[in-house]
Amino acid sequence: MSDNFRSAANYLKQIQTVAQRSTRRALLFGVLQTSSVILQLYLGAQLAHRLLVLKEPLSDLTLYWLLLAFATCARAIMGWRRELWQSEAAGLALHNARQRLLRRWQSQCRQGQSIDRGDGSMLIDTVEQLRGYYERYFVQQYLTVLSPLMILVVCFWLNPVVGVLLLISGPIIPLFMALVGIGAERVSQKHAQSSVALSRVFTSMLKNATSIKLFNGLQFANNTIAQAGEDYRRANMKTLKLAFLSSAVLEFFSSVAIAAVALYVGFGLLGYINWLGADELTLFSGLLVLMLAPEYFAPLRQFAQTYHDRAAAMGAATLLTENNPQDVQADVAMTAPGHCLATQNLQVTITPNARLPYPDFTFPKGALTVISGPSGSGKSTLLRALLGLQSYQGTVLRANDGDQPIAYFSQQPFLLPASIRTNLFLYSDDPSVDPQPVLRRVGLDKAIAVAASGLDTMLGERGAGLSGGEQRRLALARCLLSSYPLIILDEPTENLDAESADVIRRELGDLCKSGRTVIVASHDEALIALADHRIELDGGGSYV
Amino acid sequence: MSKPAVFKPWFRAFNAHRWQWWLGFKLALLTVVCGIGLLALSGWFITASAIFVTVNIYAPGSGIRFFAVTRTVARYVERLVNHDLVLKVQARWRIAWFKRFQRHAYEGLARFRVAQAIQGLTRHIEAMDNLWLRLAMPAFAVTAVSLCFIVWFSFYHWALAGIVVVTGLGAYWLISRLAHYSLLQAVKVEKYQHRIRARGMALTESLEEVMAWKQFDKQSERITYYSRETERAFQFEQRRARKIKLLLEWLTHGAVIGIYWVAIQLFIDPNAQVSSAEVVMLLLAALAWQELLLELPQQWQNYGRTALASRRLLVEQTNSSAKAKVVESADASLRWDNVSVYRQSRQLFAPISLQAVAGEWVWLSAPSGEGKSTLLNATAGMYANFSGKIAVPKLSEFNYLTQHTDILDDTVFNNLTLGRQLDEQRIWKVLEWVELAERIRQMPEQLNSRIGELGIRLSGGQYRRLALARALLKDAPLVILDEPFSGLEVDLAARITERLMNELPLSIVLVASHHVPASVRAHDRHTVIELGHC
Repeated sequence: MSDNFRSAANYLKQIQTVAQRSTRRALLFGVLQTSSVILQLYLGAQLAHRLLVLKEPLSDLTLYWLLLAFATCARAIMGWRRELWQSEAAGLALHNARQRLLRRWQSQCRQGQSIDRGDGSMLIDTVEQLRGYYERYFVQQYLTVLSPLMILVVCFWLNPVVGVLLLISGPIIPLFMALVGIGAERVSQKHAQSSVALSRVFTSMLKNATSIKLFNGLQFANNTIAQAGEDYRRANMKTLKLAFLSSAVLEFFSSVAIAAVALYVGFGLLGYINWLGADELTLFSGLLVLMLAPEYFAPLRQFAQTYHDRAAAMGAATLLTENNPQDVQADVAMTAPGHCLATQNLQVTITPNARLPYPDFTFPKGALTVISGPSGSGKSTLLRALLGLQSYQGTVLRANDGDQPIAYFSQQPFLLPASIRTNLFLYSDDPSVDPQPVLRRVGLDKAIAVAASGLDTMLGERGAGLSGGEQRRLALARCLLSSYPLIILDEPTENLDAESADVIRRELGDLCKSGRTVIVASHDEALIALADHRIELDGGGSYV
Repeated sequence: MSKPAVFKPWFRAFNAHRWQWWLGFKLALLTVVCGIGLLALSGWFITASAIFVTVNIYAPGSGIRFFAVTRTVARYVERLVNHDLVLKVQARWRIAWFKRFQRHAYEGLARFRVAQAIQGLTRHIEAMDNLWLRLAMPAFAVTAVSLCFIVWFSFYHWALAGIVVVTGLGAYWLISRLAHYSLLQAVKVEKYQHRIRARGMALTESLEEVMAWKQFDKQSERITYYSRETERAFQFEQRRARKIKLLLEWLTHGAVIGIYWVAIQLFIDPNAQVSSAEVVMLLLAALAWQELLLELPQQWQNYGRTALASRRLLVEQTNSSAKAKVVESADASLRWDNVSVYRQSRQLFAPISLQAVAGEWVWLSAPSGEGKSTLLNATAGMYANFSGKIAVPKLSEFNYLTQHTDILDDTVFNNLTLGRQLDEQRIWKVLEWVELAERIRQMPEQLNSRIGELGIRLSGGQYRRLALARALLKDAPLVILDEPFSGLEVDLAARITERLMNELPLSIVLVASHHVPASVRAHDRHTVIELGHC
């Protein structure tokens, strides 16, 4: 658990390094802001003392009024600049976090770790949770020490007793809050559980809305949601009672400190107290100290408010930290001509402790190789190793032009909710090629011509608008449009109507005639019959 | 959508808890008054001690202590009351929303199977607690206090009250500008974020293909570009908000200096009879009031997010069910007359015709995505985009098993009944048909055992059979089953089919399946229809 904690904290620190300049500037302006506040209150107290006690004429004090106006303007401007720099720091940090997340996905993919489809939204949803931390908490944690320190120094100069009072109450408050906070932790775990439960119930009702509606279960659904909502409220209030208690401690001590200052100064001025500098109190020093006391506690109050920014950021950081990147195998370029790929002593890592061994294979150039075998015998795993999408031990040898992209046709070809044209050229570097000849070859030209806007017809989620067979043929067209010498396909004809399957089989055969290498994993008998080379896996693996 | 209209449904929910928000408001007011009183009275006390000869120390002393303690307690209770209120309103609203959501067309309902949509929904509902806690209540409290100040200051001099009025109006104008900008920002940011989110999800879904085609750098560059753009847009919008905050600070500080100056003038003027202690009291009261005002910009920056969340929540409800054109047949049969189904304007298969009576089974065979489910939806009256005529035995009286297995995180009993009144005997009988009775008898609490994510995990095939059982619990003239045996072994499917053939003699059974059992093809009570291309 604490390992997680440490790596999350490390992550937050690392992300922040790009924003150091902005953070320092924000700190500087924060310090200047506090100085303006002190100056402002100083002048206010001076005016009170001179006008009310010394009864100086108003005209003599014009300078003070002007300086007061100046300090007031300056205070606002310093605060403004400080927030500007804090905001920029957050922007830089979040951008950095997104970039690192992208790199992490890349290395995860190379090691064969599966990435959930929904993970893409982490770029926004999880990363945004960091914003509060970098925009507010990060600078605030320093100012919470610096600002009160500056005020403390001034207070000590004015009156040591008040200085001591503030000095004591400063650290005591976080101590008490921490004590209350520990209890709050336990309750908040319960609260997190009930929050998840409510979310689960609500989500469940939403996901199953069709069936609920079909079976007239609306009343039942409402009752279930209402009950979960009530449980959540009760658990939530328990947490809040403790959480608010900790901030009430802060409020209490700061109010009491102000009251104590007021009473002490008042009694001192009246002469009831005359030790430790109380007799040196004047309206000026007493009033200044009184006005400074709330400013002393203000950063602490702000800090308490931003504390949940930190909690949110830590939560996000545990999701965003990189796992230790393992070294990915660098492949040795191979020399044997006539072969596009070959494997030697290949053992593909499935889980950290289990590796699947394969016999040595060669994949001849310009030939159609079909990898077949019962389900679970490791066809897809072998393909993934060849594609560099799974970590392995042993070597995969590639031909001299081995760093070329591979035209990959996966089990579930990816289609964007965009136009057919965009989907055709999704992975292509050259969108100006005329797709019509290729579309004719895969038999999609008629279907597209009939569609509402031809090539510019928009598809829906997951290729909605094209039938399953048409989607696969589009993915095949992608492979044909590219000119990469190696094409790898994973079960291209499964669950397909007869016509589409025929088209795909025919095209794969033609591809080899034009000199490209095709490797297919499939249990389609008709396709296996077309193969130039066949690899049969039976769990032990053997070359046929 | 105009500003107040967006929040109307929420205000109605608040109204149901009138006494609570009134109490919360009064407590907030008490907190604020104690805070101001603490500072003002302290100032008075110190000045009086410095200048007056004799001072009654007990009254102000206890007053200061009273304010300090009351403030803390009032604040604590106020926060509890207000948060409790917000949770109650949220709960009430969640149900109201769900009720309206149910009225959607079936296509709209299916959208919420996507985790994204649900995440967005819960995010929006949570954003709404800002409405009371950060927007309405602070504004009410500040307005009430400012009115008190106007009254109080007018006892001294009209100029003092005048300063408060002018500052109040100026603050009101600035805050409303701020709210407006925050809404613009929220809309813009949402658009930018949606773009990154969509691209990110496209990338993670197609990551293997992208890596194989060596397109990762290109795609991640695009996302990086959008990320930079998003942050830039964010900063730009925030700049306007910050300038307003700056102006507000100048305005309120200026007001305090003005009040100070007028108070001093009153002190100097022998006719006014304002003591020095009162000058300091007025000054410190003004300082405390100004601090209150300056909390508003930070709170009201949440306006944009909140208004947008409310807008999104309301938008989810505006779609209504498409009217389906299915009619009742005269002879209690199922009829399809040259029926073909369209997705947008695309015809999915060649028109088919059929007539089936009670006791007959119709099997629809075609690979996935060729229109089977859509035809079933149309027959059930859930989809209107079809040509030809569809007639069913009885409108709205049919059993439907969806292609997607819908299972709740709840007990087996609730999953089967979904609130319907059904007797247990019938339930066990149907469970025997799908061969689940034994498995459920083994569970610790049998029908009352929880299944789903938090309960007992069943296999995919068992969930499927449970959903099938749910669809058969009531007798109906038409039974529609969409891929009922997906994930089941072939022999199990055949056994269940045999049983159902015997147990459902009074129903027309319409089955969509990409695999039709061999024993069925030759049977005379079964019709097999292959959906052909057009």
